[in-house]
Amino acid sequence: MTWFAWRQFRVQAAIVAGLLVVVAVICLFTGPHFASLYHELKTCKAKGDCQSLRNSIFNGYNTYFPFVQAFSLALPVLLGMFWGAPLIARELESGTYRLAWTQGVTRSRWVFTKLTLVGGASMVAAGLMSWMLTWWASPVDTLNADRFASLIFDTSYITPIGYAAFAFALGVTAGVLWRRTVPAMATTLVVFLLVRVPFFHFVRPRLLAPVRVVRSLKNVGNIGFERTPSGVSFVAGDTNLPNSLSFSTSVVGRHGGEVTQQWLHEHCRSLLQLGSPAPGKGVKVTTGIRPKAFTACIDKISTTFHQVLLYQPPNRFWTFQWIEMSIYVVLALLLSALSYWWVRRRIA
Amino acid sequence: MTSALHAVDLGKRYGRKWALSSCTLDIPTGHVVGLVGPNGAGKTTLLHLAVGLLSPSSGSLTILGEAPASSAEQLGHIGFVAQDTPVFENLSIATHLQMGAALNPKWDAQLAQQRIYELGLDPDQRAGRLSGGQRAQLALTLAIAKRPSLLLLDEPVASLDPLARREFLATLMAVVAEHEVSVVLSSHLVADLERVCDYLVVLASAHVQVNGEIEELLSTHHRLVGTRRDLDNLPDSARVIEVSHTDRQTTAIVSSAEPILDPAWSVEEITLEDLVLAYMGQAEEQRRDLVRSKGGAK
Amino acid sequence: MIEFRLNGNSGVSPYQQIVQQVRSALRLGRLRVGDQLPTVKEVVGKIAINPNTVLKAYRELEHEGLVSARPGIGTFVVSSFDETTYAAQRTLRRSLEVWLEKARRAGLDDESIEALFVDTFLFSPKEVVR
Repeated sequence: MTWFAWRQFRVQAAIVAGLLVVVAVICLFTGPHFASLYHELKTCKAKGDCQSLRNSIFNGYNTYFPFVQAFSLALPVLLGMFWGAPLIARELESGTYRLAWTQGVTRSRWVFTKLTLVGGASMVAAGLMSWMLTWWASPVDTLNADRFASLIFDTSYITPIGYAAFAFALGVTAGVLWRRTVPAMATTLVVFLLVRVPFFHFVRPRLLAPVRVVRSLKNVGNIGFERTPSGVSFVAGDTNLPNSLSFSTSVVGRHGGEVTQQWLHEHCRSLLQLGSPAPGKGVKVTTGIRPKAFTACIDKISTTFHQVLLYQPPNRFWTFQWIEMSIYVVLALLLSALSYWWVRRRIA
Repeated sequence: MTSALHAVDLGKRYGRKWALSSCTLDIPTGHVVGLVGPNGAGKTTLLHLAVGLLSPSSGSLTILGEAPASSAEQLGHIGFVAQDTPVFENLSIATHLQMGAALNPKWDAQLAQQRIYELGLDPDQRAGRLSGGQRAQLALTLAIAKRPSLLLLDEPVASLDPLARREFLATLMAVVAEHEVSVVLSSHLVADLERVCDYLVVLASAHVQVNGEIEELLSTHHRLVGTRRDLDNLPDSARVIEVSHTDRQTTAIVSSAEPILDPAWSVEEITLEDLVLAYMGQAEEQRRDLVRSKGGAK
Repeated sequence: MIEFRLNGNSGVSPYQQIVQQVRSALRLGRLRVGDQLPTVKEVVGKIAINPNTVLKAYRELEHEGLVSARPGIGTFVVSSFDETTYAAQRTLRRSLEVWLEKARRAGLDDESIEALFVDTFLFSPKEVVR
């Protein structure tokens, strides 16, 4: 049965293998060059040299990085659509199940073998892709120092293995329920996105209780004011701590409270030509912001307020990778069990 | 002696419609069984139940004494050729044989290869490029080389031209002559079955209408022709299957274990086709009556 | 080797047709004593009929004394359908019937008749003195 499952899978495997080879060629031809540039960068002394090395690295990656990363991002769902959806649906659709399930192998064994062979292959393919990308892009990733919050998390290291397993199992299940390949492929794509995107936005930051850190506003960059229709508001830019996953940032007073219009009106009158607040409305701004008053206001704000950061620190990166991958693998196992049971008991 | 197929009150339902209902059969081994009936009568349903592609909604079914598809070993005892003889279009004939060898413990590779050779088929040819007759022969080869005890075929010759049909049936008979295989063959063409089968099951309107050895059925069913009259003085065991009156004459097809001795009737033998048509006609009449009575009740 | 043809519309059952075709082949000399009839497998492989039909036909021919089945080897013609032989067989059969009637009237039961016949048959000279 294993031999036959492989024989049916051969062409699909070859296509993906071919694509992986293309990626491997790109990585092998350009990777060592970047690695040596990076090595030079680590030992560079003159600022000018360092800057030009950095530029070389960033510019160099620009050619291929988008393609390679996009491929790594798309690979799991493509595997789900092209390996998973047809796995059982094609036999049902074309009627060949009437031949396949009346040989000397029970239906259960047939499903199990195909699930494990092609499912395993999906995880291996995604793993290889991810490993290549991780190795190849490590110079620019290290320079960018943003692997926790950016797409690096989704396309490198071990999470793609989980996504591939999940997409594959999703495809198989959709195929079993629809009994047709094309609707199964569409369903796989849609459901995959419906799970991945919310997970990325809402679940991932909350997988562990975030760490709370308080910072003085003096250390924060991107600080200032902006005009709004109702007046002026205080802005402290989100600063991404390197290699961290930000949960939330806020500016809070020592005893609570925020930098409101009222507070600005009271404490930073000289900042702006502010008229008196109209009843029920915000303060009016009549002229621009004056520099000395600006600095003075910022100092005042800094003594009264501070920035509170909730985030996931860099040392949790690998923990999060394992947790997320495991969750997706568990989902994959549950879906696989459902497909297995459905074919065994219900397609009859 | 284990039955080839033993069904007790077997039924299969899709939603509210029963595709097969109250089916009780005990088909012995060592026969070539013809399963005949109009399209949609339940032939494919019965065969799919027999090979484990469907599971019953009611009743029970054993094949060669075991539940269908209950184990790899049980599957090894049966060979199945589904309707329209499905094959893997993208795989070559040789690959199909390799599949057979890989998935069947009792696979007879020599038999398979010899048959492919005798049929003049190119082993490297993709199955999708074969003609209908060639595909049917490939499917039959795959089923035979498993060395099964029971072969089940679902309308294998329905879409074949006459020559391909003849060759397929001839091959099948040669297999029966050489190996000890029981065969259940479904068709809606009675002429083919007459030459080839020695046991008959008529399915119509999802029910078994009649079943038994053909020789016995033909000797216990007669056509009675006489002047127009009612059929009230027939032997007690006699059952009227079909009757038609003109203004002068009555013709009836009856089944009777005892001979019909009433001199008013001229008793004739009937052919298998007459028998099948009579039962199918009876079933259709009952179905129409049912539909009319439902309509009338509204 | 004889090849059988089946006429589906003739009203004669398939096995009868085979029996008749063997008989007429013998009459016409197309089949001679010692010829082998095609195996059941060969017959059904050419004309698609149930093997039991062929077996039944061959058994009937054997019963008529025209062929003999040798297990593992085949079915062979053992007696030519010569008109004179058939006539001689008819005459001999009638003599035998007369003899049997005499034996019964003498009071012999079936077993004694059979024993008497077998005994005489076994000890009779095998060659005909011409």
